Amino acid sequence: MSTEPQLNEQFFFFPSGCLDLYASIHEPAGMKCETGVVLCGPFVTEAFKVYRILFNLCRYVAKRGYQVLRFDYGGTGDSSGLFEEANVATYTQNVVDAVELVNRYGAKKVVILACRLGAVWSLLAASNPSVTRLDRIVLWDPVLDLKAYLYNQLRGNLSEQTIYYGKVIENRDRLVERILSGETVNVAGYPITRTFFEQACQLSLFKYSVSLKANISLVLRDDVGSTRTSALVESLRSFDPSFHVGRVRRVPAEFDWEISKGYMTNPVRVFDTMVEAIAAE
Amino acid sequence: MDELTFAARAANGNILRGIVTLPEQAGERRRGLLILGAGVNPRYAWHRFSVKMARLAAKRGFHALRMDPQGVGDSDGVIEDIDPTALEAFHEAVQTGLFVNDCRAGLTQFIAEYSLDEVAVAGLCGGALTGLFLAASEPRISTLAFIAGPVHLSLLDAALPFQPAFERSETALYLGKLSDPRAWWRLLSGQSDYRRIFFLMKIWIYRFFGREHKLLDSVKTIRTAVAIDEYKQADMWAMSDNSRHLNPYVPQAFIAFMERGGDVLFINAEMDQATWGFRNYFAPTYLDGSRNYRGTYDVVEIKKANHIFSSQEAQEQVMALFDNWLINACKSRRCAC
Repeated sequence: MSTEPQLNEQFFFFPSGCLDLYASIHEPAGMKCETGVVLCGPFVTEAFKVYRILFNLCRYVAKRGYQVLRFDYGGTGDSSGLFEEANVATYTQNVVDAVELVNRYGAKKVVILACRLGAVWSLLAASNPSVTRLDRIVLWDPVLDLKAYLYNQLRGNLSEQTIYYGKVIENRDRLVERILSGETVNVAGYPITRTFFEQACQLSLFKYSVSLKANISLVLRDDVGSTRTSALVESLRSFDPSFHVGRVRRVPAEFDWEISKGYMTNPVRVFDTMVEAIAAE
Repeated sequence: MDELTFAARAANGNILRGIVTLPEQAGERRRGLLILGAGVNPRYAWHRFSVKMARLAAKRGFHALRMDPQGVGDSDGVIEDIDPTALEAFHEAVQTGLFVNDCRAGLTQFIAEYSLDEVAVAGLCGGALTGLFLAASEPRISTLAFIAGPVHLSLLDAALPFQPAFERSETALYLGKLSDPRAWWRLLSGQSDYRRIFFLMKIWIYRFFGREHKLLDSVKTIRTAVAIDEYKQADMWAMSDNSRHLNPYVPQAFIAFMERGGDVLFINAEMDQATWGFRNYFAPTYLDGSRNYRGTYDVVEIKKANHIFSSQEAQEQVMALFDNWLINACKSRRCAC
């Protein structure tokens, strides 16, 4: 009968810019880990839904011999700061600081596990000269087009209009006009600001591709079709010319990033694939 | 703003985790605020509601703790014996006291660690119920903010074509279809959702005759309540004060807290099924002025607000109410920390 190792865990705040980010670190007790893993979580609306899954994932990976750091971006979760003051630069800096924290802990190899929109911040951070060591980025159901993603998130505002008025009063294009005119538009209670949206519109991830230091892995749900998969593979080849569809791992769609269908907290088959992706050479 | 991590031990030894926001300026009496998040969601709550409340409370001189019960957020443990695919079953478990003991353990540690003289509790949704149940049996708590707490059991909502609280939007939806020939074709050719339409008409009729509280009497639900021992009172389910769908633990806890001289601020959202249940099942019997409570209560309904108060206007209104409540909280007395 195998027994899982005990964990050492710490819950703390660490500085990033002028903010204090809430974080936890999980590692097997009595063991020096060679590899440090930084979990870069999804956007706020998704992070709320899958919080416990990602927490359990950190423990699961740690029990398999890794030091895992998980944190809340500035202005989100339990970190300091205001959501409306977070932007592309601050999210990226948060990831850089998290990676450097793991580097200071003495990891010989550093891997980012980037979920959903965490992919954007991770790819930007990986191109940042302040990062002293980063070996691999595992992209899990990545979002690479920030502008399209935010536009999609505005559906939440449309749903709320339907509750109040029985119909949509302002469609998404109208909401975007309002954002770009300087008003904030709420999505699930979070204010989307002009600064953030304009940065999203202007961001061209691929101009950072030449300076990327890390290898890339891709993990996708098994219900992501071949067209989308091919598009993602093609996009990622801009970062890593050797990337190909054979390096895509699949996980069962045991939970949804956006909708709570139940209280799923331990999708073990998904967790096993993440461990494989982290461990891959 | 100073914030520190927090840990307490549950009765089974598992660690319960949270964050304490320290007061900007502590007063003569050390006051604490325990913030309980919604159901099985992490402690920071919808759009960081708990974080905003904690930081506002700190400005008012409170130590503010937001914590996760077992199996949720960062706390140890798992929620056992509940089908993970049935969210309603989880909700009902929370609504019948699942997290009370954990929150009591957190409260005890909070009071001891920060040498608190008095404690207020604020709860959101399921956290409001946990807070009420805790306040009923905890002499250390004198005042409660009950925010968007459901007083009826969630399994009822799952049995309906839509929630009666959303009648206005459903009506607007169907009125909008009156001029749509395709909608008429669907209606006449058997393709419409007739159950939904008939339920909407039933709401109109019951509302017209002032019998909305009887609307769901014919709806049967199968209870799968998982309640902690002290709440497992079989007689509770036989109570039929006003409605068979009212969670009987709610009036029991409310009356106990009122008898002890507690104060409750109810903050409800207009477009929320929890508010519909509150208006139809709880308020007519327990807040109609006919009972002479030792404690006091206040009820505020935020217009054009949904269950999570997501709009900027709703958030501002709730925070203003909450701020005012903080200023008056714990002013008397009857705390026994």
